[in-house]
Formats: sequence, structure tokens, C-alpha cells
Amino acid sequence: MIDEAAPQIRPSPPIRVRTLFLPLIVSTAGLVVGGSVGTLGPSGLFWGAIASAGMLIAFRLASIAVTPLEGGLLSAGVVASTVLSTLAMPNAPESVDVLRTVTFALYWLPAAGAAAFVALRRGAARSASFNVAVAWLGAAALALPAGVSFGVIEPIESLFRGREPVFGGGHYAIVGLAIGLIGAGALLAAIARIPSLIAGAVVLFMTLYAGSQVGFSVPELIKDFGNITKVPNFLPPDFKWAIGGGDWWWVPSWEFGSATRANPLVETIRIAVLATVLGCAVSLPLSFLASTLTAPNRPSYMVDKGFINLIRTVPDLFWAMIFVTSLGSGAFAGTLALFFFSLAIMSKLLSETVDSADPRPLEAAKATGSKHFPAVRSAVLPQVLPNYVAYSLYVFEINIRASVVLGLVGAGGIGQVIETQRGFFRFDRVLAVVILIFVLVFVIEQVSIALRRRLV
Amino acid sequence: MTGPPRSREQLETAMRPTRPRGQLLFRWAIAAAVLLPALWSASGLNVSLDRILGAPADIWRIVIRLAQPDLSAGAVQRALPKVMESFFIAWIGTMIGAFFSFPLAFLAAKNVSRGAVNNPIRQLLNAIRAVPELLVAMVLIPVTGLGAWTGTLALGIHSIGTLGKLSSEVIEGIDGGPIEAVAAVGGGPVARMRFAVVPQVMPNILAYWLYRFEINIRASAVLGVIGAGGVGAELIAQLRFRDFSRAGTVLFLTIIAVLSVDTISARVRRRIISGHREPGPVAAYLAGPWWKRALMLVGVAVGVALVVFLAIQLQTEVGLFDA
Amino acid sequence: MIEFDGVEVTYRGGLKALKGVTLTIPDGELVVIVGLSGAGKSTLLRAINGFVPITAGSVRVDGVEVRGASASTLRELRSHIGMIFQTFNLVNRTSVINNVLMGRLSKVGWFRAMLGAWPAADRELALKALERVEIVEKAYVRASDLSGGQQQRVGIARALAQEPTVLLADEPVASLDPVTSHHVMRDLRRINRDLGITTIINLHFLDLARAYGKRLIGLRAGELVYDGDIGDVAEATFRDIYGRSVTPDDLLEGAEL
Ligand SMILES: Nc1ncnc2c1ncn2[C@@H]1O[C@H](COP(=O)(O)OP(=O)(O)O)[C@@H](O)[C@H]1O
Ligand SMILES: [Mg+2]
Repeated sequence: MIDEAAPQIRPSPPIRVRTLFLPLIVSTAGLVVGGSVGTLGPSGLFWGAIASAGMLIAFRLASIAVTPLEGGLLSAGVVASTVLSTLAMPNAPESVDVLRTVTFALYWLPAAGAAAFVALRRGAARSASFNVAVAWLGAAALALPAGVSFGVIEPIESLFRGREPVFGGGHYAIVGLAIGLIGAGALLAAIARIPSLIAGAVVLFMTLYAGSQVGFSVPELIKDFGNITKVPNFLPPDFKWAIGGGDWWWVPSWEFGSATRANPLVETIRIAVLATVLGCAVSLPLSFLASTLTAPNRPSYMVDKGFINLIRTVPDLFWAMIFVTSLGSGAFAGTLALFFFSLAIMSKLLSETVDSADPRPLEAAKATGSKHFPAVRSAVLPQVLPNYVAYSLYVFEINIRASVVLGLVGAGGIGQVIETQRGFFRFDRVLAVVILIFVLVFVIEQVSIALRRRLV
Repeated sequence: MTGPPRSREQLETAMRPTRPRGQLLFRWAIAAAVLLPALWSASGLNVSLDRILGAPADIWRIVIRLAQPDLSAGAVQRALPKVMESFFIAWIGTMIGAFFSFPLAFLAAKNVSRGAVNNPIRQLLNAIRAVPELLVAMVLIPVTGLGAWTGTLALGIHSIGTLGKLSSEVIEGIDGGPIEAVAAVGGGPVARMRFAVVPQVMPNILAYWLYRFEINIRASAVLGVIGAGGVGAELIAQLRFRDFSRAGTVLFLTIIAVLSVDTISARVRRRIISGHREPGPVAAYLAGPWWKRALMLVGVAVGVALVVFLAIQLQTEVGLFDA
Repeated sequence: MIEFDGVEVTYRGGLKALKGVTLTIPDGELVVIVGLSGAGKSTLLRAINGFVPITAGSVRVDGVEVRGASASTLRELRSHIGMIFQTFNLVNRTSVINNVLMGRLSKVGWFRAMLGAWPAADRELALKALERVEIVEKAYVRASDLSGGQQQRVGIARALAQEPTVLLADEPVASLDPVTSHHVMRDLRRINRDLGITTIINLHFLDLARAYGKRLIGLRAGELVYDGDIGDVAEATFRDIYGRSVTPDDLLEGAEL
């Protein structure tokens, strides 16, 4: 029997990210070598030519045929951008600041525009083509700061650190190629639909840049290891003081004019309990207003949703600072702070649960001629009640942990003890209290988690 | 509504179940379990009634002053780098957390690692999680000194705990079939993870990383309170000077930053989980009717003009961009 | 009395689901509406209690105009129109009696409803309604623990608890097996006879319509193609409604007509 199956068309293999990176890395290496022996002129023409050649090779290797028009356009764009960049910044910059970064990005508009145009021509979606241009410009904007954190560009203003000004064709070229890498990657990704490539490149750059900003540096890290010897300051933790011998159990309350004394650890728990109960109670109606399913009308939905989103952005200790400022220090301020904090968390969690509740019982309730809120109460509330209880426990866990640190800004609770002892450099006591808190939080959390698991 | 015959009604009444009393009792027990601790807590706070009654007015006085932030170039120039620092701390902290929690999550998952391994690792993650970031930072300060790096490390360590736990729960929730399939073709433990587990869990774990980043940006904002970098120190300082409009600037910029991160991150998360892209603003623009396009175009133009105007103002007045 | 006069419904997007429907349903009648899926049966039913706004013509229930009625008029209207759903639409996570008590929502005060503090008289009414559908022994069981047929009877009890004058049932047996279907249909017919409640039932299956209906309304693509006694229905009528001959798929038990 002769197999007479119709000739099948094998799909061409998908484009591999690797095939793109290889030529660019190779040409980068060439440029670095060239740059370090000082053969690259500052005109930018040569630099641009090599960068665009690398890009075209990449397309070739990725089996994306580029017509002469497209190739010419891409090359022209890249060369124009490199020339612009070098004309505008022939020497090491005074400093790398926002304005310079943005201007530098704008020099790369020709390249970005050409890439977006090619992407459009090659049938990429309009939004994808737009993204290509944005990625290209974003890469250009990141190039200078990234160059600084890599050490390939040393702005003149940092010369006081006793380093040589670093700026040469080769170094510049690395920066340019980094842009090309991301830009061409974005173009390829748009044509061949590999979004992870853009994401990966952006994350890489963000991390390198952010790392340089928070002071991440390997030598520093090694130096810090030397500081490990300071840890013994904490040891041994002074449990005897923490549990009974110390007087912090009975430090005066921070209530002005009040003679009563409060136990800070107990106060911490009190703050957490009260804030949780109040916050969860108030957020119950708010959550129903913040869901399209149960809001009575659009304006109340918008207002409530906006309110919740707004209070959600304010961190817990910021609330505490605001209330300590307006009400004076003490547990009252702390309770209010955690109240708003719980309100925000609970409303978000619960309103999302309400969103996903079954709408049909509500319709049935409305069909009986019920008013809006009674219908919501009997048809939707029972659906979300178990989640509500579970979330309340979760909010309590968070609040316990948050109430520990309230005292750092004077909002009551055990944080105040930590702050005081830290001021006395009694790190052994700090550690003892921290461990004590840790045990407390841990126990409460495990109980709460066990309860929650039984609920939902 | 006319009733059925009398005799039948009596018969059925006899069959009625009694209302379970236990439920009512349970309800009262719950109410007591919530209200009694709340009352106990309230009683211990030592707040006089007139203080409570006066509180809204006191808060309002401050809040309306905070709500009028000083958006002059000088104020923004001072606060913005701090906000950015918080952002960077959160980013790197999340990266550290993601990097270290990823392998730990596999070791902690009950279905892919042995009890002797997963138990201690899980407890370790729980322990890390229980210590608030601020306390971690406090313990770190003697070692790494004051500054952003300390805060970053603290966030990173705490994130290892939370991300490790969440990720290991994702791993525990996977379908075991593919693991067996890879094992059946002779895959070793690493191959099993790489080809059977990672593809299944990656979207959810990625989404958790992003979610952690949203949380970390809030957490990093408060690290400044103890001198571990970020915008918190600035807020404290301005509040101490009782310069409320400057404090308002800090709050305003923080809220803007957190809101933008939330919005973008939530969008990306949804996309990762659903696996397909939602129409972005540009696509919405292109798909909309002409009047919507015009409206959006005007909006964008106004926004750009505003930014440019602001930039020019900042530059001419104080030279924001000349560092 | 329910009066449709030249009723048109055009959904957003331009789909015309009802085209000039005119009919009158006197009090106490049991009417069955049949038609293919998408013919507009649900739309017709939902026009009666104002769930679907009509775009032309008028719908009057006991003389009250539904079109353009205010929110409070609509609530008052709905309070004596019971509705029964294909998917039961019960609150799964609460007890049967709480589900039935939802039928009293329009009668009790706002605060009582919010607190769930039902007056004894309303509880009694709910239990009576459950007795009428013979499921009172499940009163304190969670709704999700019932079988499909039992859940639908709870749905009927919820409607009965409203003490309605009109019952609207939208494919009440479409999610049930044949035996339970007959049980539920018998309940509906008995309620119609015993209590004199005007009952309008959407059905997909012809044999059920024939077995329990008296008056039949046929819809096809939003148009009224038949309105008359079910006894007079011939094969040709069904062809009018369905656009083809009757097949076993159109019958609940797959038998010939
Ligand atoms: N909310 C709605 N929006 C737009 N079209 C709808 C809506 N509800 C129903 N339709 C359309 O109206 C037509 C009639 O629907 P329906 O009354 O539900 O039919 P039936 O109940 O007979 O199956 C169908 O084509 C349906 O797609
Ligand atoms: Mg229908």
C-alpha cells in the first residue's frame, strides 16, 4: 500500500531568543576591543554602522528576511541616532541627571521610529509597534544611568572620588549597543511575538539601575561581612530583663496627665484587636459599595472604590505618623492608624470576593420586589461570609505584626520599648524583646492559620 | 392564599423540624468572642471620651493641611529622590526575595521534596515571615550601617519568607501527572522540576513576585523611620518640623508612586495569570470611536504639555535637572 | 390580568428579541410558552416584571403600566409576581428557610430585613410555603445539600412566600431529570389550581407542555406564531413554532408525540 498522504507543510521553527543575542554579543565584544584600543572615532558614524550591521545579522540568523528598504531604514535610523548622540554629547557628561537622560532618549527617536515602522510593515499589531518604539526609547533613557552603574561612564562630577574620567568610543558603544539590543529585541519580539524578551530586558536594566541606587556593590558586601563581628552586641539576648526583671513591663503610659500604667506588650495586642474589629466592621458596608455587583449606583461605586484605593496606598506607619502628629503619641493614634490600615486591606479583599459572588441569587431577591440593600444582605452576604471571617483573621495577623512597630513612631505598644533600648544601645535587650514578639506573632499566626483553613 | 384542608395542615405541622438551637447559641458565642476582646482592648487604651469626640476635628485640621501639598520645585526636588529610593529598595528587595525563595520553595513543597527536608525549610520560612521588616532592619543596622542597602536587605529577607511560603503552596497545588510523565521518560529530579513543575507554577509565582513588589513599595516607604533608607525619614522630618505642606508633598508623591506601581503591576499580573494580553490603552485608543480617540488624544496632549511645562518651570526656577 | 400590546424589545446592540407581541392573560390561567432557544421566551417573561425594559408598546399587569414605571412602582409590582428560575438561583451557603424568607423581603421593614430578624408570621408563611411543595422537613438544611429537584421546589416555595398573584417560571425543569421534571410540573399545576395564581411557564419540551398546559403560546424569532388551546395544537402548529418537524430532541422522554 502506498502512502498517499497529502504533502504536509512543516511550520518553520519559532524564533529563538538566543539566535538574536549571539550576533549582538559578538559585535559588542568587537566594539569593546576596538574601543579600548582607541580606534573608534567619536563621530558616531562608525559606531552606528557596526550596531546596525549587528542588528541585520541578527535578523538574518533569526530567519526574518528584511527587504532592502526595511534594512536601509533601520540602518539609517540607528546611524542617525548614534550620530545625534555623539554630536550632542562628545565628551563625558557633567552629570547624569533626568534631563540628560531624557534628551539622550530623544536622540534615539529616529531608530525607534524606523523600528516601529518596520514592525508595522511586517504585520505586527499597531499597539505592538508602538511598544517597540517605547521599548527603544526606554532603553535609550536607561542607557546613561546604566552606563554609570556599570562603570562604563564616569560623569565628571564624580571625579572627586579620585577616579579617572571614563569615556571613550568603546564605552559609548557598549551603551549604544545595549540600546540596540533592547530595541532590536523589541522589534523582533513584535514581529515574532516574543513578549518575554522585552520583559526580560526591561527587568534586567531596572535591576541593574536600582541596584546601583540602593548601594549594592560587591566590595561593600564583603566589607559588611567583616562587620559580622558586631553581632555579638546582640548576644546573649537579655531574656531575664525582657520577661520579668526589667521595668519595661510597667513603663508609664504615654497618656499625658494620666497616672495609669500600661503594659506595652498587652497594649500592642489591644491595639491590634480593637483596630481589627473596628476596621473589619466598617469595611463590611464599604466593600459592598465597592463592587459593581452590589453597588446601588455608579457614583457611589466610584466614590467608594476611589476612597478605598486611596487609603490603600498609604503605608501603615505613615498613618501612625499622621495620627501621632494630630492626636499626640500613644495607643489611640496607633489604633486609628491600624484601623485605616485594616479598612484598606479588608475592603480590597472583600470587594473582590463580592465581585466574584454568584449574581443569580441577587436577581432572584430583586425579583421579589426587595429593596436593594436587603436583597444584597440576604442574597450576597451569606455567599461571602466565610471569606469575610477568614479575611478578618488574616487582617488580625497582619495587625499584630504591624502593631509591634507602631511604637517606633510613638504610636504605642511594644515598639516604644524597642526604640528606647535601642537608644541606650542595649541591643541584647532589643534582641530579647524581638524574640519575644516573634514567639507571640508566630503563635497567634499559627492559631489563626489553623482556624482559617477550617473556614474556607 | 387559601389554606389546604385542616387535617392535612395539622399532619404537616407535626412533621416540621424544630429550629436548631445550636446555631443561635453559636451566633451568640461568636458575637461574644468578637465583642468581649474588643471591649477589653478599648478599656485599656485610656482614652477619655472628649478626646475621642475631639479626634475628628484634630485629625481634620492636619489632614486638610496635608491635602495641600507644596508642589513647588524645591519641595518636589527634595522629596522625589527619596520616593525613587523607596522604589529602588522595593525592587531590589523583591529581587532578592524572588532569587532566594525560588529554590527554597521547591525544597519546602511537600509534594516534591522529602519530609526531612521540607519540614525544617518550611519552619525556617515561617520564622522569617514572622519578623516584621522593620525589626529585621533594626538588627541589621549595626552590621550594614544606616542607609538604603540595610532596608533593601531587610525587605529581601522578609520577602524570602513570604514568597517562599506562597510559592511552595503553589507548587503543592500542581497536577502530579506531568511529574510522573517526565520520570517515565527517565528524567532525574532536576529534569522533573524543570520540565514538569516549573512550567505549571511559573505564572502564579511570577504573579506573587509582582504582588510582593506592590507590598514592598509600601514597606520600603516606612523603612526610613529607623534610618534604613527611603521616604519615611523625610516624612518624619517634615512632620517634626510641623511643615505640613512639605509633609503633604512627601505623601502626595508616595501615593502617586504606589498607585502607579499598583496599577501597572495588577495589569501585568492579570495578563500573566490569564496567559493572554488584554487590550492596552493604545489598543483601546485605536479601537475606540472617533470621539473617544479625539478625547484621549487631547488628554495625552494636555498631560504631555503639563509635564513639559512643569519641567521647564522646575529647570528655570531651581535647575532641578542640574544635579 | 396581564396585557401585552404591540410589545417590542430591542437589546443594546440592536437585536430585536420581541417583535410586536400582543396578548392577554386573564387571572388564574396557566399558560405555557414554547419556542426554540433564542426565540424570546425569557425576554417575554422578564418584560412582565420589568427585568427587561421594553422599547415599544405597553405591558400592563393588573392595570399597572410596567414600561417606564418608577423604581418603587416596579418593586411594588414585583412583590406580587413570583419568579422561578432554570438554575434555581438559591443562596447555597444558607439554610432553606432563609432562602424562602427572601420572598418576604418586600414585606418586612428595612432594618428587620438587614438584621435577618424575621417576624414569626413571616416564618410561619415560609414554612407553609415549604409544606405546599412538600419539603418542609429540609427547612434548616443548607440549600447546597439538596438535590436539583428539591432545590427547585425551594425556589417555588420562595416565590410562594411572596403570596403572589402571578408566577413566572423560566424553564423551571430544564436542569432536572425527567422524573423530577414531572414532579415539579405537577407542583406548579397544583399551585395554579389550588391558589388560583396566574402561572406562566416557559418550556422547551413539547410533551411537558402538552401534559400540563392548557393554553399554549408559541414564539419564533420574537414573533407570536401561536396562541390558543393546547388541545387544538397540530403537527403543523409545531412546524410553525420550530420551523421544522418535531424530533425526539424536542421531547422530554424522547417518545413520539
Ligand atoms: N441581555 C441581553 N442582551 C442582548 N441580547 C440578549 C440579551 N438577552 C437575550 N438576548 C438575545 O435575545 C434573544 C432572545 O433571548 P431569550 O429571550 O433569552 O430567548 P429564549 O429564552 O427563548 O431562549 C436571543 O437571541 C438572545 O441572544
Ligand atoms: Mg431562556
